[in-house]
Amino acid sequence: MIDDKRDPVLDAVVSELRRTDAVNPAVVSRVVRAAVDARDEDWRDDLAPAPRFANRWRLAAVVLLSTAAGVAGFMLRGAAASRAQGSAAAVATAAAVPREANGPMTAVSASDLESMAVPTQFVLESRAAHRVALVGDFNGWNPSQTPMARHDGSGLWATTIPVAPGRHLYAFMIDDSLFTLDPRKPAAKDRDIGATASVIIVGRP
Amino acid sequence: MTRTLMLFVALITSAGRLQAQQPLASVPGFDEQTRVELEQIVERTATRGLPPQPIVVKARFAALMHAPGPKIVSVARAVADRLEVARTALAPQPTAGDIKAGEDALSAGVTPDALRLVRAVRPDRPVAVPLGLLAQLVATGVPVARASKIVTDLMRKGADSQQLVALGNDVNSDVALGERAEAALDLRTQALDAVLGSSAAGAGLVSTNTPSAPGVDMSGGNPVTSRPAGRPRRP
Repeated sequence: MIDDKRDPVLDAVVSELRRTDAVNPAVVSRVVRAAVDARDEDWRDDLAPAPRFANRWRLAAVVLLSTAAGVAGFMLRGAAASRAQGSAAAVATAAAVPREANGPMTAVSASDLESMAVPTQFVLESRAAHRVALVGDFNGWNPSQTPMARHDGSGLWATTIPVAPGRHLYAFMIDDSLFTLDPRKPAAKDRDIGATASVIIVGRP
Repeated sequence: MTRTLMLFVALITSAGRLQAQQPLASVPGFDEQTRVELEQIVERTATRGLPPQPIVVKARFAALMHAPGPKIVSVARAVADRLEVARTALAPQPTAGDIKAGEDALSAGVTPDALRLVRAVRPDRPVAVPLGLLAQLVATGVPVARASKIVTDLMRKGADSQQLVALGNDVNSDVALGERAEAALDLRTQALDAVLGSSAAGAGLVSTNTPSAPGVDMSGGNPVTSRPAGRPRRP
């Protein structure tokens, strides 16, 4: 049902709108063209970021590139060093991983096999020691590299690490300060330094 | 694009150098001057295609022994020089392990000629173990010429790595008990000769003058005593 009585306010608005001046077509055309141009400009801006954003992108690219280069450099150098040294850690890891997990099996030459590190046990008896570490040319004479574990309730300290085949000098560091030779092994004097160290010759079984 | 590539290459190179220098940077006992000189020696050695690890290791040993900075640097230079000599003597294609073992042998008093003899017997396989035995024999007091002849003879007869290691350990034990090194070496070599003679006979090998390539002995234990005793080989 439609109410015949019209709203006077609505009538006033309609009559006001109907009194709007005629629009000049030329003006309309200019306005529309300006609007289109403005929209095109925005579109191009969307495609090509503003200069400050371009700089940000360039900076981000350089940072990413630097990070990638750094990582690549470390990896390449590390891989080369591991290959050159026959990295004990790498060998230990490889030995610890089941063969199936290493992916496709590859042929290992006799030379490669002979160069592989050999698990080698080092033992020292010292009841008075609180800490014992193994130091040698195989771990860079680094006292924090190879701590030894005390055997249950005894004075025996031991560790087993992979060592590359060949002759090696080593010793034990007791309580971080006492450089101690292995009484079970022969000693040799390093002619460069004049210091004496224990000697072990490791060979692949 | 070119600039980007150059930047990338430079970053890779510098990252590698940084990592190579880390072992030195983390060592207490090097003053700044010593550290700088060591890094230069390491860098030069790596540039020449030689393994720089023995230099770092020896420098760290010297630092652990509280050697003064100039001494550490001179030791590092000596190691670098010996690495070059070892590579030349062990040509044509020594591994990093071979060069390192050669350097160690030279430091113990072994001559470059002795290194060449070892390489001649085993031209295409690692020689770290025979060189290690040779170095230890010389360090114990066996004359270089005699030690190198015995070691190369054993290699020609097919002694494997573990047999050479066992020989070195046996000689060391004898020396520790008061025996002369040379006498102990003669005695222990006779036993190993006997084993090698019986192995060669069992395998149908007649000549003992040609280099051989023995397989890896997986029997474990001391090869000299764990292998079946055979008839002693006649001299």
